[in-house]
Amino acid sequence: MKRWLYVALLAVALCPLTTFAEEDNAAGDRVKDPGFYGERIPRIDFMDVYDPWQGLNRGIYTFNAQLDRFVFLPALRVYDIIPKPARTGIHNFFENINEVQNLTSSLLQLKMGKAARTTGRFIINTTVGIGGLFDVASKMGIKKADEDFGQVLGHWGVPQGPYFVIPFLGPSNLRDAFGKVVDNQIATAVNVFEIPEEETENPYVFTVWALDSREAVNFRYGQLQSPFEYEMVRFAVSEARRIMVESDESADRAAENAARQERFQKREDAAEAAAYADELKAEEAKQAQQKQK
Amino acid sequence: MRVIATMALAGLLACQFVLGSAARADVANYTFPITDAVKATVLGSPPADIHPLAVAGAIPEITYHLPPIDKVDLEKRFPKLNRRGLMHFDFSLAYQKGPAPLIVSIAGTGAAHNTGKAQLIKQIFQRAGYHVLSISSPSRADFIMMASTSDHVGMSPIDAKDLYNVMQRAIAMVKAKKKLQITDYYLTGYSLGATQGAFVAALDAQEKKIGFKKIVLVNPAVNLFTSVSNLTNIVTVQQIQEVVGGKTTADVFDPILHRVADYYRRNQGDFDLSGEGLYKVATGIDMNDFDYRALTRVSFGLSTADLVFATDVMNQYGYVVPVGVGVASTDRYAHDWFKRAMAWNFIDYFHLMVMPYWRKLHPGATEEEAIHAFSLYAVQDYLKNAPNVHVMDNVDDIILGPGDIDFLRATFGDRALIYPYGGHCGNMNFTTNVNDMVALFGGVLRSQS
Repeated sequence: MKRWLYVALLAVALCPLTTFAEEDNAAGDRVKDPGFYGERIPRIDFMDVYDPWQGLNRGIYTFNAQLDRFVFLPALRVYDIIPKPARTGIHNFFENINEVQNLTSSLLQLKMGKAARTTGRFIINTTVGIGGLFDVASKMGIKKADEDFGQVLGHWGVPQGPYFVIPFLGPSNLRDAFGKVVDNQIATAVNVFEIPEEETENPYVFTVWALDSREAVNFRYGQLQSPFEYEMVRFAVSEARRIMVESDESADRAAENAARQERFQKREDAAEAAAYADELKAEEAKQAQQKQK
Repeated sequence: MRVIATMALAGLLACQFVLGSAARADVANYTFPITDAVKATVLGSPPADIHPLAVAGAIPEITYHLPPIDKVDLEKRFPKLNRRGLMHFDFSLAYQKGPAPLIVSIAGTGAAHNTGKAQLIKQIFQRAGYHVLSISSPSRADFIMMASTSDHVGMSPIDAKDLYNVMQRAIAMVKAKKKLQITDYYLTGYSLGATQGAFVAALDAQEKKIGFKKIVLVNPAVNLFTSVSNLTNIVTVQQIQEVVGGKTTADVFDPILHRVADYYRRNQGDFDLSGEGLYKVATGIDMNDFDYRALTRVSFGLSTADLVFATDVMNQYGYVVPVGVGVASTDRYAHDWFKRAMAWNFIDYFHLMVMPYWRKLHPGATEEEAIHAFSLYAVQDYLKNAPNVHVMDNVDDIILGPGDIDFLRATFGDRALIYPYGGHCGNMNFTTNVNDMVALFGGVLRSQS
């Protein structure tokens, strides 16, 4: 079942390549310019995301939102009858199986520290944590390495490609959607505890997996309550994925941050000094005037 | 037995009220820990100093839908709204099982009835024993589209009329649907919602259709133009360019985002979006003054973009969306609309959208006259002589200008509670402030606590 989901996903990802090319914004010409668009709109260019299939994407986004509203959220309310500790156990269990993905992806990026950590986590959680139900490793301070094949591709320089809202699964991009398919193939090939196979073939396991996956995502459609939710989510998701790939390579952020604050402070001080100088001048001028009188 | 309990409670209330007053007079004893105004505005109280009533958590509440006031017009502008089940104006009610006073609450700029500080107010007062009816800010797109007669926001007397109308319809609805037992009507609002609340209170004193007995205004904008200017200019584009080295706006946020990502990796983040979670992140990544200012500016900018967009479409101004084009969120040009709306700030909005409309109603009105009419000055006489209207504010509130605190002191006299710190609404969840706020409405009524 799960496998077909991914096959469908790939098919949908490839089909619109030809059909949904971006059109010129002819409608833009009919807009009145209040006089500052030329100067200010380029400043917001950084929120542009390559989204050539946006017609399709917006449709799927709406479809996903309705699916969430009418299927997932009501189902989650039923799922929530299960006590929280049990749900946490289920979540840990699936996460433990996911360590395969974290391990292969760490190795493929030559991140040996992360690979070692992940291996340690898997062994500890599978044994002491009773088959992965308890996340003992985290309590011991061994942090999870959140890696996937999309990040592997990113690490080796593959760009995100077109933004792509995956049916059922949510916002992503072509690179990461392909990454998900690969991750799924690897998981099924390794087949830890035969769970990935069960997820594919047993509808009950699939359902629990789907519910757990949805519950782990802290987002509600309409939560931003803005007419521009699609734009904001698109920007946030693209940025998040970019930063997940980049952030491991950024050690000198703190230094840059301090430098920024210093520049800001200097500027403030200079402004204050200038204001004070102006005040003094005004005062002098006043006194001069009074003297003249 | 019940009589004794009631008397004991009344005694407690009296004590609390007296204690509250004592704390008030003695400003030196105020212990809000964040003395940086911008930081306080963004972060709010540190988790340890949050009043128990203000800690995030579930309360009994229901969301209701009000039909739009002009469906025909709306359908023309937003053709797919109805089909997607979005053609209604939402408000929410947090309720008690038995009879209790109803506090009507107006949200601040950009906030919906169930987000941010509007949710905070609802939680505090529901837990303190009141029904709370929470109304989204008139600055929100859904209010402009579905509840505003002017299809604009910012003209306080008009916003107040629209709010008053929404309140009456909402109260009728909860009375009918929930069989709510209401003993009295109170009113509160924070930020822009407090300014609008003052106008609503003045209107209610004339028309007496609801009859608010007590009104508490929290951190109002005294002069609307000063407030929006302060927020718009909290960082300037020039500053951004100088600080980040003359590059684009993206460079401002990139380092913040990277540090957030690093933080989550270090702490194996489960994305906790509650106030406490964000507090931990913000302090964990060591945000600096510039970051706090930038975040405040962006947050205000996003709210402004929403209201500019809604106003543009509803009035067919043609600045953001071409005239005659029906709007659907699935439209492929939506990103252009978004960028155009983001290019506006509230001062542009005032000059190019609000003033033309206001001049239609008041030919020849100058901008100074308009600003006066939209600000607390216009209702000063009412506020001076209304013993049931109280105000809470902070000396370092970033939306106030020189002289504004003095205006509040002169207008409200001993009905003004002025704190030395807190920034703009940063101390709303602080222990002392919650105690004072509840005391102003008469104290804790709930017996089981």
